[in-house]
Amino acid sequence: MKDLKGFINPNLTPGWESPETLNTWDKPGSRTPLIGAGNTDATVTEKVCRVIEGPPTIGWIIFFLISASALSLLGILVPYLIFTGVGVWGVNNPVGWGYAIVNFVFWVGIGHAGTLISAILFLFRQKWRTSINRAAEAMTIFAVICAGLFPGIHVGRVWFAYWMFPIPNQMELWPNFRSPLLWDVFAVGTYFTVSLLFWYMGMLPDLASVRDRAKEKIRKVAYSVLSLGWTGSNRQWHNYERAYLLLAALATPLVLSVHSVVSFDFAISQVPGWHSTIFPPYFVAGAIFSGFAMVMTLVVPARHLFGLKDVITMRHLENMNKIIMVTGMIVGYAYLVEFFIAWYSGNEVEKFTFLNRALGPYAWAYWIMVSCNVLTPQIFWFKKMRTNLKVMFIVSIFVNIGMWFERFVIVISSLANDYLPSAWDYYRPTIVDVGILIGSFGLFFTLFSLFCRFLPFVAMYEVKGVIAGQEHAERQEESAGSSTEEGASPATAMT
Amino acid sequence: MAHTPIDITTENRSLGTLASGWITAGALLAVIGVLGTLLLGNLEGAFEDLGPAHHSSGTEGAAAEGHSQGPGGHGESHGFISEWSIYHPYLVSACFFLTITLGALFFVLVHHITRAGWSTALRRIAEGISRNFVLMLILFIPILMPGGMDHLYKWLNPDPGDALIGVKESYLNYDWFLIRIAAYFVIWIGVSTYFHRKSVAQDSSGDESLTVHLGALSPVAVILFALSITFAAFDLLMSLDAHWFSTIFGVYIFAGSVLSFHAVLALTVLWLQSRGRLTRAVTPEHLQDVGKMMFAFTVFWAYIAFSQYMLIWYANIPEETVWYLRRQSTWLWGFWGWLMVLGHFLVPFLFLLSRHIKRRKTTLVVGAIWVLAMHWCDMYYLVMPQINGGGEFPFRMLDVTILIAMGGLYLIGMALALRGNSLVAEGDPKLPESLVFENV
Repeated sequence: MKDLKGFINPNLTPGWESPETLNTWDKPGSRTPLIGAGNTDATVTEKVCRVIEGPPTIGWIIFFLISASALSLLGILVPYLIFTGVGVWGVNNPVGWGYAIVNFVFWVGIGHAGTLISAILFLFRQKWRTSINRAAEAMTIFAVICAGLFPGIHVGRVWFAYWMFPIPNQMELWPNFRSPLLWDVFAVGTYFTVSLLFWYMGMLPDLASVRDRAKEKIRKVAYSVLSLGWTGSNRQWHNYERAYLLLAALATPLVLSVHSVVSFDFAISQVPGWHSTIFPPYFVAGAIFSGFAMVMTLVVPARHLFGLKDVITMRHLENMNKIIMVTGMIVGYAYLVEFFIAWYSGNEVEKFTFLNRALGPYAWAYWIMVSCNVLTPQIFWFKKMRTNLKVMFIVSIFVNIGMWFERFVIVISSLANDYLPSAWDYYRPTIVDVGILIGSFGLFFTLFSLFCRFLPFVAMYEVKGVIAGQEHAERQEESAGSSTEEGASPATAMT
Repeated sequence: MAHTPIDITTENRSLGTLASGWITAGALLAVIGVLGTLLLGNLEGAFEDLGPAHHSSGTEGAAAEGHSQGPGGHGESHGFISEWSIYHPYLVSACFFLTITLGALFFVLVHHITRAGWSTALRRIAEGISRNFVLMLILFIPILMPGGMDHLYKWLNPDPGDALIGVKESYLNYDWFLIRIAAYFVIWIGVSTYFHRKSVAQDSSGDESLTVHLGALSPVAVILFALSITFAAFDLLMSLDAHWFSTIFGVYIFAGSVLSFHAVLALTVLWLQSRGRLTRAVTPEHLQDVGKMMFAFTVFWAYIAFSQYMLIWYANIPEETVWYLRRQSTWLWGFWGWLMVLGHFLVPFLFLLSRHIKRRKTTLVVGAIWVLAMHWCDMYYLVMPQINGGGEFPFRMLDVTILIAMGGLYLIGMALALRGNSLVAEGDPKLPESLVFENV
């Protein structure tokens, strides 16, 4: 594989490029290799499998213990909530939806990046998704688990939570099919199921690789069971790739539908600040925004800790930063249009609600939201910032904070100051609210650290397909001198 | 794997004699359209009353709307003009072509931003179509004259005591409206001209730095595009009923724009190919991708249209539902609504699903024409139902003749923009990738 410098036109780069950022430049018309030079099929397998084959590192153990401690908070506070009642939360009379709904929407949003990367970017032929899709999909599933927790404990009598499902019963008791809260059950349930299948199916060839490398008996048996007898035969690959394409096409509408349905929870109502027709696409953009930020938060340290810097390269990170920037601006667009229409509508309550958000008792939350979501990502206009690991990590944290506050602003500010000033109240979370939020982060990070420990962090076979494509392109360039076609099917990489 | 790259210099890639053909055909259509409009317009009495509109006419519409509640509880005053004028079909057709042009501009910008490879062989045609903003500006002038505005936009002369329009007077007033429209066209004409000129300049120079330059410029251009298309949609179409509002409306117009442009792109390319142009540079692979984009934006349009309808229907707030009530309270507009659901979404969705349909010329042409027809129906659906309170079908032959006239002018505009330069961005370093591109 030739040196990356050959792919760059020195006249078109500013001169500060470091070896690490070298593959973020293209000579117009050529495609700089995504995966670092010197990587072959063997080295990719080695690098990825090494993470889960060796003994756990000190860093991992510390991270796991911190996450598990936070998780234990959930183990204490959720039973306390169940035995005592939702009064332990800060919800009050106008604000019946507090942290629980904010956290639910936040976590569902986080869960959007995975399927977007694995399905939509697949349909758009974005090869760079291959290095990050596995981790992003895992993150999606864990985020949806965290999200699912909150409606469950919010129902008050948790032992009746199964009433959310339309189960035939002799009481002739059915959930309200006209309620978007029930649609949520279906939308999130479907999303979780399909994401899980998609993730697991995408992992089969890699699980087989881990199985083939396993030396201990238990390990071998475990990964044999998990890999469902994958042999990597031509016939299996053929069916596999057809199935992957179809699943991608089927999963694509789900990326849009889940958060659209979540937005319906608010937008079908008549509550000012909630009822806005732009909510579905605006929520979807926000979800992708926060999801990519979380992927960034996880991947920047992970690639460092696991020695995957030339598999998840600066190019991947820069592309994600661009998506964060685009979706952040779509969210900013929605803020703008909402504000404008609130005034344009001539509806007094609507106008008040938006002014109240910006200037009222929750103005602090509103301005945290605006500065984190709209202003912070603007730093990515500068390539130097887009390719700076510290900057992107910090921005991703800010975006996570900002997107949590977005849901806080929407849920709380509209409820706290509704139509009747005499009914207004100020919402204050209790220590239990905060503890459960921290606990949900504990759950998320615990699951994610377990994933890092036991399952291949990178979709090895897909990365190998990209490497094969790079080599193919180079050979073509050598022979024809012009072609730059990228990527070959994973099958050619494996067989 | 990839087929052998063609030598672009051997390709017939200039409009050549076809330009005069297009101009003749366009002129013919324009003359037929204008004559037809004049003739039929006279017969139908469309030119009789081009002076200031009767402002009492709103109440007739109110009567026809029957018992439906006045918007916002503001009694008899209405935010829309309910009397038909020739400006209504004119606005429908003008918006039809304006949205196509906007779609072309978006195509150019988004493919620069994403450094797309596959589309390079098609980009010049999009650039050419986007140059029609100059024509669109000329076509919009009659609407922007006080006479035209007066027949279209009630907020220009609202009913006395109409408090709802009163509060937005600082936005909806003639001067500020004209300034905004001028600003939109400055953005559109400026951006489309710049991107087209630079691309043409690259044909001869092959300067790679132009690709980098346009790539760096396109994000800024897209931001301007997003804001301008949104507020243009609010101004030109949403304010037809100055009482009504919907935050998603700009996105709705955007979805239709991109969809209709891809249909025009497919038709243009196939027409050029049938005349021996670009026969090898544009392959079924490109056509399939254009078809995919049509499919994707059919779904996206439906998603946006559904979101708007569902949320307004469910919340059932009179100030919002009036807009759909007007479109549902008579059988004709009810039928038209179903035409949107089935014709604008379900039929093209099912039709464009198959790979073979997108790759075969005849079927793609059928799909593209259908999509365009539905886009026109969509524009009609946005402008017309407030006429006569929806009670009387406002269709006249003028709807067709004006469309033909503008279509003819649009074709001339395309010919003028595309002639003289290569039909392919042949200096673009990404072209080789596009020429050998294959759908896997």
